[in-house]
Amino acid sequence: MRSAWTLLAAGGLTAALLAGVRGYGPIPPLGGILDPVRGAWANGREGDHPPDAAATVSGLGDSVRVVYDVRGVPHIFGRSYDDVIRALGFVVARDRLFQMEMQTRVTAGTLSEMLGEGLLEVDREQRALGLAWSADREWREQDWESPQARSATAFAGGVNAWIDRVDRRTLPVEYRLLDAWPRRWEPVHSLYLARRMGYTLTYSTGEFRRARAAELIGREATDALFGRHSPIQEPIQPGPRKTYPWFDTTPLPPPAPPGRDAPGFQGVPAVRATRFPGPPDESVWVAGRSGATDEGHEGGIGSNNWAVAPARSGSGHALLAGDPHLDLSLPSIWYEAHLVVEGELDVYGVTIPGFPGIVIGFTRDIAWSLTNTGADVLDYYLETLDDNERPARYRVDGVWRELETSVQEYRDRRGAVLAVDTLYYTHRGPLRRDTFAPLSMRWTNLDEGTPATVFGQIARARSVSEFLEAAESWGPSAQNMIVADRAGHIAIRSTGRYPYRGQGDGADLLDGTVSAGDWTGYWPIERYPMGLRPAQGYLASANQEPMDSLDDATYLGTDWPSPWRAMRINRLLRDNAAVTVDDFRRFQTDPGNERAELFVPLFIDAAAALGGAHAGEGTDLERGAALLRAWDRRYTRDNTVAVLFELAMDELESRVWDELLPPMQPDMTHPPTRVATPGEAVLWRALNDSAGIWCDDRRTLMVEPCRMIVAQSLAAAYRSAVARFGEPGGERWRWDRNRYANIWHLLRQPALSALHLPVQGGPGNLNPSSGGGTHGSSWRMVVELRDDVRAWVTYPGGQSGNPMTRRYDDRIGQWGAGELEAALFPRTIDELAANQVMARLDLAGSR
Amino acid sequence: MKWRGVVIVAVAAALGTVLLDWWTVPVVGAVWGLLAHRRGRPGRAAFLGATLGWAALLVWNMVVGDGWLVATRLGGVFGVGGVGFVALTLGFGSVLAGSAATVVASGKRLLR
Repeated sequence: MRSAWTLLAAGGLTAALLAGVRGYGPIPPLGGILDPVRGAWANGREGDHPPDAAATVSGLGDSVRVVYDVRGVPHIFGRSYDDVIRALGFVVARDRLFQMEMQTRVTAGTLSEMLGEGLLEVDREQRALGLAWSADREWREQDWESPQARSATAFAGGVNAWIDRVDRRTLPVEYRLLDAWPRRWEPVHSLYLARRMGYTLTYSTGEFRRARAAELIGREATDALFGRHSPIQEPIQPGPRKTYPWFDTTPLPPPAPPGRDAPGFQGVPAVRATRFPGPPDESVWVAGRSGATDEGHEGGIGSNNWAVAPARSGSGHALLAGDPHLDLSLPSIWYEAHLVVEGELDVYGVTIPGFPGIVIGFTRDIAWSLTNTGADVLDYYLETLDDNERPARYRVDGVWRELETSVQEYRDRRGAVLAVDTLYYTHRGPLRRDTFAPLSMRWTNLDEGTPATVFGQIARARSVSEFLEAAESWGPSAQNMIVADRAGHIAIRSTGRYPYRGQGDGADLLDGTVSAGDWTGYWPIERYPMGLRPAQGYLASANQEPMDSLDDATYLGTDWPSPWRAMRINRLLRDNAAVTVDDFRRFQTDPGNERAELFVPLFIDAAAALGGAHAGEGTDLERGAALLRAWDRRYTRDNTVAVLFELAMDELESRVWDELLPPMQPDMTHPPTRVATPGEAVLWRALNDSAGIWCDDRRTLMVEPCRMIVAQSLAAAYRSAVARFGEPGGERWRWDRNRYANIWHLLRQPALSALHLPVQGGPGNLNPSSGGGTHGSSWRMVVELRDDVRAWVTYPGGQSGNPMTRRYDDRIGQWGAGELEAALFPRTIDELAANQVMARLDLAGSR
Repeated sequence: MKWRGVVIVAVAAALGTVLLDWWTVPVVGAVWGLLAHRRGRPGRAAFLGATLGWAALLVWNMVVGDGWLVATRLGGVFGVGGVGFVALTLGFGSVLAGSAATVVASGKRLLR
């Protein structure tokens, strides 16, 4: 008996020691987790910064003092810009080290080295995009004394000073779970982050969407459905018309017979074109979606910014609001900070952890924010290679040119080589061979950019005109940059590099065998869409087409998002001649919806015209219409009709755009999905088209007029809603039972994420909720440009990246409720009262 | 069972963890097994002592930091819940000390 017990103990001891030291499979070594002193328990003790701390940071020219206010925001006071940026590197790494490494690894395509071989394909895809390749090249070739290089180097020095101090007590918990240790931060990693953001904002595959559509409906119809201009115009740049929006109701061309046209690559089967990677599917509705899903469907996401001049503000001061919508994650994409160099710089706002500067924010004189312009700054060229398997040359103008090559090794967590790829580059950019044909990419995001320099200069601007000048060299991803100053001026400019093409535009695939289609330069700054001190007294952008296409039809891009948010904010600003800070705050989560304002009357009219006239539809149609008639068209959390409207819109899309369904093939196990879906503004145009050609559902024997299709959609939606949610008005019909925000931790660990958060807003709202709830308002800011500038802010997360502290997600409740907090903006450290200070940190240079 | 032994192991396990690392716990257990191999069940005293020592450290974590938040979040990651994570932590230390003491005491008896 005793020997059996001893054997059992020996087995237990061996197993426990192995579990403590090595772990099993996905389970990390438990010793480093369960140790109550140096294990993950330490993350709970070390989560909040000590009240007083000091550290040495080599490279500092002078001491830097950091005060963390009660919101966890570091106020960094130094004597030079380099010192302040170096300190920023230290404090951001102190709070967000794991996030910084993850984001750069994604861009560099080295996730499998940290997370294992399951990420190999993600790494391959990322390296093929050329983000790190172009950043490395830019870093090698740059002037080492440039502001960009100095900032990145100083920032890296600060980050590494923190990494040097990391021990087993302060090691972020994610490293423990992955059994990893932080790697050194290289200055080029800041460029990786900028490339990553450029990818998020400008990577598009619209050419493929158009090509697939053209195969089914012809080129002319594709041009109309996925056009160069929005059929509803509410431009950013104030246009010549007295009233906006205006609606294009010219009849849409009919679909051509399938297979007649395929711009750019005739004869390539559509199904093969879908091999090209597209954006993540955002159209899968959490509650389940009846319609087909496809790449490029409007997910109802985007960003907003707006400003009013003093004449339209209740306080008599200019007001500015910024509201960028991005992937929601924990830790948040943003980190709030205040940088002060006496007499030179005093800027407050948010930075992306890893980026050496403030990206959106305000100073003592100005405030600014950004929305994505959505311009077409990425073109694809169909290349001809000498050998498709082992290419060495590609042909241009009848002459073979050498391909640049780069051998890429992918490694696993232990450093073993998982795979080796050869990547190829033409003079235009990376060559993609994982598609139906070799394609090279010409993309502004791979060009030299100087984001740290630009944002460093913006932070020093004293007026709108100085801001516009400072932002002139911004290039990689066109942004609608809105700005207001203390003198009461407001302006917005869609700033970025807009290419001139030698031949045609970038809407479709280009022929790589001729140089005529190459880019020949960029628009001059004077051509950029801009509004400066507008007569209307306000400016707004929400990713809509920047210029009125009747005023200036120059090509900027295709397939613009429907301007529902732009229409809404313009309406709110037009209707209120004395807006206040609190109005701005409420606007950011306004439940009103212009999309519903336009489409609901169509459903009601169709029901009134056809109610009961068609067998089987009468009762459901009338009940559905009654619900829509009683709806205030607002997406509040407790609303019980919005779900019906969303289902009706899905039904309507699937009926109207049936021409975009590829034919069923014998080997298909599921019904085919639409190859592309036009925006809802185009849907509105199709329904109001006098010809009504697109309304007919060609899958049925009869020819349906638009009203019948609209009525059928509502009746079907009603039936679907009752089947899913029970009788109307019940709890299951509530909006917040069907749509929520889902903020995932970077490792997709549910326990470290904030999931199923009820939100106000739906597709097309100023506070939109996307399909999976993983996108949304990532930072909300309202600034009043008075003599002492004041601001109110929040974001969905917390300052700390450590999930073992309350500061990790302490702002989520406030964000969900649409509330803002006053930002503390002291001129000196002493201006902060004792009860406003959470911790202090003194940084000194090493001797 | 002598409670004095439990207290000695508890103090040694806690001190060893604070001053060195978690691996001192099986070392403490082994030493206790060596010293107490003539007594009835040195493994049980080591098991309880390590539980007690690490429990004291967990209480310290709860007081100084947000230990319960750590337990609930990591308990979620490991799929055992907050209480489960506390139990896992205590169980880990206890098994290390108890089994080491049992194995060493048995070995010592065999060699005697």
